[in-house]
Amino acid sequence: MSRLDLLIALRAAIRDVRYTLVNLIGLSAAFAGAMLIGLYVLHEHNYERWLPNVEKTALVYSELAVQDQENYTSSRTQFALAPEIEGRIPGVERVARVRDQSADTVLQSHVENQVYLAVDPVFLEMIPFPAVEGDPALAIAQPHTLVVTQRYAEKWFGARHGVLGRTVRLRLQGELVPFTVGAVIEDPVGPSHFNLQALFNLDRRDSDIDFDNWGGLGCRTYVQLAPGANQPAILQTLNETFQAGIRRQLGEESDPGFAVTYGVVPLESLRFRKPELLDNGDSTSPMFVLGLAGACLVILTLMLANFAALSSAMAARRARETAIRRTLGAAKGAVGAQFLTESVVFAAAAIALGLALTAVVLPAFNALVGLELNLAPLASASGVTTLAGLAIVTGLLGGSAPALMVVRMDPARVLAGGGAGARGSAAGVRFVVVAAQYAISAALICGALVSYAQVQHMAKATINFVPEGMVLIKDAVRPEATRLDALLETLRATPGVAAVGVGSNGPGIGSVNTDRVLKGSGEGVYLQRMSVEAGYLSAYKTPLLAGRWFDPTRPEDDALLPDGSDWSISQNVVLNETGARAMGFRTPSTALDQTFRRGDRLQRVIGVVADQAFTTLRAPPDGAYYLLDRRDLRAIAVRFSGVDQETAVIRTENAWRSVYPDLPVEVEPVDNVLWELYAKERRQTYALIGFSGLAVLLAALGAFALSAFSAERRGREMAIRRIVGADGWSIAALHLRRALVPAAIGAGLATPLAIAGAERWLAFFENRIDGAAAYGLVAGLAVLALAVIAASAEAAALARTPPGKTLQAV
Amino acid sequence: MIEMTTIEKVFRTETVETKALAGVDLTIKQGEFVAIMGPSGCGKSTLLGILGLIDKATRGSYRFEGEEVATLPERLAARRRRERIGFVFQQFNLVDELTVAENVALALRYRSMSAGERKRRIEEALDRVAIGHRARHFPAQLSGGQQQRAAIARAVVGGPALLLADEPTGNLDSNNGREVMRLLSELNAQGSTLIMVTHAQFQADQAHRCIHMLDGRVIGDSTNQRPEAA
Repeated sequence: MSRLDLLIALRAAIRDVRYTLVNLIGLSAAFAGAMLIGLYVLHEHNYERWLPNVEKTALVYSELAVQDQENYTSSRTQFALAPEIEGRIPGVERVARVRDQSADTVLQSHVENQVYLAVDPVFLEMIPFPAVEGDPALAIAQPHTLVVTQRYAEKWFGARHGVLGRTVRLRLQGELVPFTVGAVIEDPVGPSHFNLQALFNLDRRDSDIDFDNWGGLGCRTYVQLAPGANQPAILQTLNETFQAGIRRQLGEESDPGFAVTYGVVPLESLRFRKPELLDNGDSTSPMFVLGLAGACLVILTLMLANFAALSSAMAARRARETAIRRTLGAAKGAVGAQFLTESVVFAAAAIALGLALTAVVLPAFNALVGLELNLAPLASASGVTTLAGLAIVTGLLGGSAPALMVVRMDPARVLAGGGAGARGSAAGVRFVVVAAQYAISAALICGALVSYAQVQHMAKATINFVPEGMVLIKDAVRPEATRLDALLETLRATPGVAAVGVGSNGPGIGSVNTDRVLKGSGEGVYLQRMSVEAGYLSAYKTPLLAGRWFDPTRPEDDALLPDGSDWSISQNVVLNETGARAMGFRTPSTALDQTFRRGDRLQRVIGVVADQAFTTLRAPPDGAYYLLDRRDLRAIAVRFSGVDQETAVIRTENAWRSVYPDLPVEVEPVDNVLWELYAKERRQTYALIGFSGLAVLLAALGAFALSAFSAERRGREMAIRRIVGADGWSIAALHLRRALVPAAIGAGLATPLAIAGAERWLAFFENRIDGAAAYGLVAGLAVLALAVIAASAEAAALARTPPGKTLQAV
Repeated sequence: MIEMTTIEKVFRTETVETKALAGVDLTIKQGEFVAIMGPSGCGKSTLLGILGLIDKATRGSYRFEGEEVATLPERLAARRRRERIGFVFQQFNLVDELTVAENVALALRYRSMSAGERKRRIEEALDRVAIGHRARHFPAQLSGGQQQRAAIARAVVGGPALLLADEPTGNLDSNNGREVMRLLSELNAQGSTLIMVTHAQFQADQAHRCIHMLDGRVIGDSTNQRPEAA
């Protein structure tokens, strides 16, 4: 590209600054969108892949089949499995157990709950994390020795190295046990299901775990496989090991009531093949990731189509210059090459701008997807190569249409005033592309509206308790349960506290106890067991549908009978509405005074309450029964009145510290807890809204390009119409009508499909909004409005330009 | 220099076929100044386009400097244009985004030569048409006459053997028109073959020959008694 070519291109770009800016903004925005999605997809793709030896390591998971219940897949296996198979299965070189263990960690006066990995020493041979100081393999073999990451070292000791021999105390089994740092390893450099902060030896002495029990799933088991290991044979041996183990434990004739079948999934493919096994909340559906990757392709395709269309419109305005070049001896190829080169340079500039835009938007995007993505992958050698390739490919593909146009152009005709001679078929392709863009926009707008409305609905839906003014102490009662009464008294005496409700469950707490109870007919029904304290119902303000709630003054209401009590006395319980229905009672009141059996003890229904939706509105509520039982109280809900949220949290924390000065506490407003419950949907919705916005922007640019091109091509026709009597308004109206046609076709085709898709998505939610069709209609109208807006500038210009001027120019 | 035999040019659309040139025979010698006249639509500009190798004849033979160019591939036709042919148009056809000097330089863009040689040629061409003082101006800052002089400078900077002018004074007032004609005549006198399409008889009278066209055919070819001065 010569200096003259560059000058012409630059000055033409400045002359047509409106087109140039629109093209640049569109390209940059699309590139930024594609880069964000690319970073996200790359992050997901890199899941676990950075781990040393990842290609040889696999997770053993369990398929649990329990009678009368749906099968359940767990990332955990029995502690007993690993020792049984170690060195006994051909192809399995190493076996290691890992247990996530949170422990109150104490350093001087600082107390905080910290997550650790309790591992078999062989784990660090299997996955040898790079050491910063000390010998991790040696350290992990020692009792009460920590292998810490640099970030852990920095957090607890204020330095990323030089911390060997430093000590913290961990509360294990109710005792504060000193742990010494024996080695420091590098921080994780990629995403993983390992919550890697610090590790210590999975030592029997520090745990009350029954390491020989085949009945519970308590740890993750990893195997290192030899190349070409026979996986079916390995699985068969694993399953036989379980059968033998459970028989040994329960006796040959006993039926354990459940069966475990193992599976093995390579760590490399864990994220996408078994996302449900990720216990760290990274369970975003692979379909969502794939959907985003698809969205990236759609965005790039739309961008290319727009780029080509707008570049063609701009090239048409440079027809005379091109014709002059041709008469001056430029071969077709040279002219075409010039336009292609310009296009590549333009795409490169747009990528640079897109990169800057990405840097600006990345923090917000990170907040949206809940990750800490950075631009490092784009600055790496492969990233730069990819971006350069993207610029070249975009430039060549987007520039090929204008290049082809100028190559095909007849210079004699152009110089004789005949125009660039845009071909009808190319205009037709542009029309189809724009209609497709409108279709995609309509679908995305509809999806974004429905998704947003559903998330809003979920946040406000009837949950049968009142979250406003309530804070929650999670995982409240650990070893010092004996001080619970003191805590409750302190809380109730705290200014602003209206009520305190304590239960085994609370908002956002997913783990529940489930019991199989027997109806009068002998039929078994699974009900969640909710242990509560008497003030629970009034604190949550949950409606009582029939009967009464527990009265602490009535001994028969209390699940805990004093020693020597008559166990034949029935136990009073309260059902929730779904539980009552599951037990066969048509209405809440018909359940009153009815009985069912749990184990040996008869349960008498004294009341029915509304279903509390603590964890999800996606699934129907579970049947549950409430017991007045203080043995398993984990969630303390404190209702405040006339106090703001922040003060409520502070006062609750202070009350806790006055009773448990040595235990950390986590207090959260219930509103926030509920907000987090739908984080996945909300993130997906915001992502959908974000990328819908981008698609709409691209569609608008596409529409603008078509409008500009149409105005360029039809300028003469419009001028003639003006000369024969049409006024400016009718010319503008004609242009707008033509612009509306692809929008109407696109929206007409896409809206019904989008509505159908939205209704299918909504069907996943038990509690959902109605009226997807109305949102579809709004999306269709929005697309039509978009078409009018995109074409209005050209319409106004056509209406304003004197016809004589147009004809002279043409 | 130019030998055209039964040149035909047909424009086709899906339903209409228009014969713009219907068998033109034409011979032009090196150094001639030939005017082509005729009513609008008679095929003058089409003929000029074929002569300048920016258009191709549908049928017939066209020998340019002894070489058959009617079927010349585009790449070679482009080469002949940049090395042997210069164009002057009624609408000047300067690139609006380039200055006068840059417009002239554009004609050398596709030829390989040293920067110094390029600069020398550009300055010489601008001086020849007396527009050097406007070299850094953009076309929009020039009068019509100045624009046409710049266009002539661009046409001659490559030293063409053949100069084609399509109504070069059509957009100029009489004074500027006379000045442009003087320049073209000078260039012809310096050795360039000049073929000019014109509607004005007084301009055609300055040529050596005047060819009359009607309905795509040459209907008259007369030799002028060329006046001494325009």
